[in-house]
Amino acid sequence: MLLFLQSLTNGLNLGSIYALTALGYTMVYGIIRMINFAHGDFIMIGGFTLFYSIPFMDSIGVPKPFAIIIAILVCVAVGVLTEQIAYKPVRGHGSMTALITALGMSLFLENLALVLFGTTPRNVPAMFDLPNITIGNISLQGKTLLTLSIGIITMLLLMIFVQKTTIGKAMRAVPEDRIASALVGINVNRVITVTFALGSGLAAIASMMYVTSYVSIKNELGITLGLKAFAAAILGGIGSIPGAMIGGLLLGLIEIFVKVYLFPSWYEAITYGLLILVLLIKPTGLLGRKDNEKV
Amino acid sequence: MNASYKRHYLINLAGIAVLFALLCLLFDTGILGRRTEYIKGLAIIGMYSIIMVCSLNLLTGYMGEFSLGHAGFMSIGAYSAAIFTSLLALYEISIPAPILFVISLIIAGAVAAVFGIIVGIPALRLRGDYLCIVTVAVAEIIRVMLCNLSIPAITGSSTFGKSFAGIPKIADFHYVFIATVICVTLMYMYIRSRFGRAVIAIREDYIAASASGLNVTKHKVMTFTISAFFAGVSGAIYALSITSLLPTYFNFSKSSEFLAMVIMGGSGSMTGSIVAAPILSALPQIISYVNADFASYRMLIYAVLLIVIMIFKPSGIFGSYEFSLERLIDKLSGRKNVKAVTVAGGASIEAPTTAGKDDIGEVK
Amino acid sequence: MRKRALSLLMAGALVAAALSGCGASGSSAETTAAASSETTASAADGDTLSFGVIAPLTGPHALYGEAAKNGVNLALEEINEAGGVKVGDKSYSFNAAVICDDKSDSTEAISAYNNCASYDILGIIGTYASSCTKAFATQAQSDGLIVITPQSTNASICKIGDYIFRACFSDDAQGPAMAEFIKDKLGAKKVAIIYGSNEDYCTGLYESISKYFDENGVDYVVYECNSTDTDFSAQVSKVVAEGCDAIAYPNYLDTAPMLVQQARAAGFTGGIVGGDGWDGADTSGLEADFENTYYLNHLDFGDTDEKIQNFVKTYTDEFGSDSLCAAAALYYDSVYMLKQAIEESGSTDPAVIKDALAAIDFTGVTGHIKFDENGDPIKAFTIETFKDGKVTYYDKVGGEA
Repeated sequence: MLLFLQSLTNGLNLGSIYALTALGYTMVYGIIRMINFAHGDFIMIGGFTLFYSIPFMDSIGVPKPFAIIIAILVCVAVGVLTEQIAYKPVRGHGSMTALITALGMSLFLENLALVLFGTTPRNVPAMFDLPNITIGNISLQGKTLLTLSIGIITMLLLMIFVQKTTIGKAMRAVPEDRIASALVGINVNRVITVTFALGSGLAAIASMMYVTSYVSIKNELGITLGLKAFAAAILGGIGSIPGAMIGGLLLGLIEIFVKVYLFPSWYEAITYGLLILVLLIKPTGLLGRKDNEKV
Repeated sequence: MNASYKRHYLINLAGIAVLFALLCLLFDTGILGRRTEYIKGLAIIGMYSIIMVCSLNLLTGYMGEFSLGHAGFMSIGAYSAAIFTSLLALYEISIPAPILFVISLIIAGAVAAVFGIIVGIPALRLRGDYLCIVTVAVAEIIRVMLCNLSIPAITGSSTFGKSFAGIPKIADFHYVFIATVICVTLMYMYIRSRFGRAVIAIREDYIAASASGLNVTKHKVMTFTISAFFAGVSGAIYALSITSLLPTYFNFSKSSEFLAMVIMGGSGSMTGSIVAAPILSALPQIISYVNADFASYRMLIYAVLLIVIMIFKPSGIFGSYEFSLERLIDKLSGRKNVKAVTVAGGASIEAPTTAGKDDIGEVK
Repeated sequence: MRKRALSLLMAGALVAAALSGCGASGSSAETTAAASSETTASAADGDTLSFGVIAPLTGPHALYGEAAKNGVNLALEEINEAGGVKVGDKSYSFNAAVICDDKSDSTEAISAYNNCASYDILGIIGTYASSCTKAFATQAQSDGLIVITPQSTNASICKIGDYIFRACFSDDAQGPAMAEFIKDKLGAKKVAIIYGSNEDYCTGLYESISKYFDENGVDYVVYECNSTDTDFSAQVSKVVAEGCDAIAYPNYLDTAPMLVQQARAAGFTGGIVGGDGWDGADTSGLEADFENTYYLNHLDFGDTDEKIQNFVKTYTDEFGSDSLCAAAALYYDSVYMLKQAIEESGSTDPAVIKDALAAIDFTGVTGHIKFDENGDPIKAFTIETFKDGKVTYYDKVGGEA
């Protein structure tokens, strides 16, 4: 029983990180219909930024959590630059081109980090000093609660943003009908840039939670995390914000429970197998809307 | 077979024979001295890369579907060939090397093709982005499977996840060259056959194609399977020449590298693949030869090139251009009335601008 | 028009890169520094004896590659300054014909081997990763080239043939040493073994550790993971639930900090023990967590032994201390071992040298080495622990009886 509850908390912890990452994916896909393969690498960049900015904050006497501001700024800059330089010119050339460009961008960021920082994994200094709560025999780390709450708050804020603000409405209009949106005066380019900026900002926050839980960073950390988070986004229904949240949490829980109770060395296969199953049976995911194809 | 086809095949056969003779001269007479083994090794790497990249081109260029998990089929082929030859060695059954080579390749291709069918039938109902993710997922599952399975009698250890070494080295340069030529020819013939043309039609506009009566799914699965078959063959050659396998070698990065080779060579151009594959696969060795420090920049340059190509010339360096020996000879001999050999339709990643359709369904 | 020009340009760039590589014949391949004046290959031609070096100069283990290269060059410098290698009456200068990069990838390792073999060499000193060494050792055996692997610990390597040796301990010996340490020094009653089931190294160690525990009646549980995992919460929760008092974690340095941190966070206070793969692990920020953790290593650089201190001094004087790690010392020792074997055999024929190598009694920076019938050295293990996150010497076990 204890193991079960402990696994639950572990799963939620892992799941929240997947969920935060998946939020970024789903936002970009929902608005621009493009899988941003480089999203995982934005998180890696966030991680490296934190690696340098946390000691920096320390040295100028500012409390460490403020390092996230620098990380957000860097990630947003990288995201917007990526969009302007690589994705914008290929917009409208078909999804294949966009996919390959995204892949190229992902490779670029990974190898740039390789060249700049080397391949040796580094430990990021701790940002928060949170106590561990022990209820009975279960240890609930303060970090887990923080990750979970940040995830939920971010999701709620995002939903409010998309539903209530003008630009949020614009963000919902663009994927429906791009030409009509332009006709009613929406600046499509600006909407897309804002989307990327938001997505990258989310990546920065996800990176903060990642380094808090899993101290070590290296240039390849974006690959697996990106793939799994993307799987989570699809599981929950790509394009749906609460879907990404639920998909992420579900994926984390499944991974942990498979590892604990079933086959620890097969857990990746089961995760991906589940993804394939979902794609085959209900491609729009748990909470996705059915996108009808017009002939 | 009509006269022009005969002439066409004859000329190409002659051209390949000349190339083969040149290479044999180079390697067998020891002109290169001590460097022979090394350059032969690079040549073999180049050749199985050609098969792999051509097979991926079949899928990505001609059929227009994205596969980021092709290394998975390669690994299945590699392990099949390795297990087969090791089993034979274990039971001390000995078969002459050339025959063993051919049988291993066929078995490897067949097993990979079976996996291709298993994956293709359900997956190919999806398109575009979703199919891409499914291919990645499948490749990962294959990798996990290979990491955790084993046949202790052969490997003498608990899992394949440990490196599978000591595979008999029967991939001699000559056999590999001939195998490569045969594979590329087969793929080329497939493209130019009516199946190939149907596939191109599906790529251009699948709704129109199915409205014209083509069984879209059947053609897609067939192409997918054939592509998987040749990926398996490529893997077999890999196993039989490198003699040591590690399942984690065939990962997502490897798949993306091969895809990058397809794109850079030109999706939709066999010539592009044949030219790009050996150069790009031998590049790591060449770079470390020139300056070991550049090795870390290699992938960086690939990535930049990929993005630049996508922005400026999405159909790749060779686009849809196909080299034709016959055309070259005709031009050189100044023959008038040159009948252009039918060039297999190239892929244009650049969807036709006005009538284009978003793969997920919105009409622009 | 512009597009065509662009594609021609790109094609030209690719071709140029290819041709420029082929054209430059051996001029800029990494060759040995310092004493030997000849920069290109050709061993045993007149005055030089050569060997090839394979190391992970780039790739995930580039840290070790840098150290390896420096270790080799340092050894060559010293040997040549002291008069070179003496065979019979003649003195030869010792030379690394080429230092090839295997990028920790087994396919590249084979190409690297082919590259080395194209020079006139006696043998190869390399490489780090067991899967890479395994890739070319069979070929080397049939080509009649000596292989001394400085750091590949997988047990099956030396069994490939009589030309294959290693300068480090084998996993067949390292596993029981780890297990013995856990049982005797830590006094553990129930041990959890967490190992990466997808890697040669980890699985090999797991097998020899569990075998020792079976033979000595120690209670243990096994949890698998991937060597690339970052989340060990499932495994450590089970460890705590089972009430284990020690963890054996025979995986690599990149995941060691994560496991240690997560284990401590889950409330595990027992000892955590690793193998030589931990060397170089980053402990910054986790100093408190790394108390009561240990790992086996080839040597400790704080050891007061004269040979070790000499090495540390000469190495840091020439190369600085950033890249100083076990790899440097092991490659250094391998070069010296080869030299001693050549001199003792009185011949420049690998077939004769290998016999001298098999019978050698060698003392180097990393300790005293004598080979058993497989070509595996019987060597001592240094046990390191962490004080304030810094690697500190703890104990030494094993070695020749």
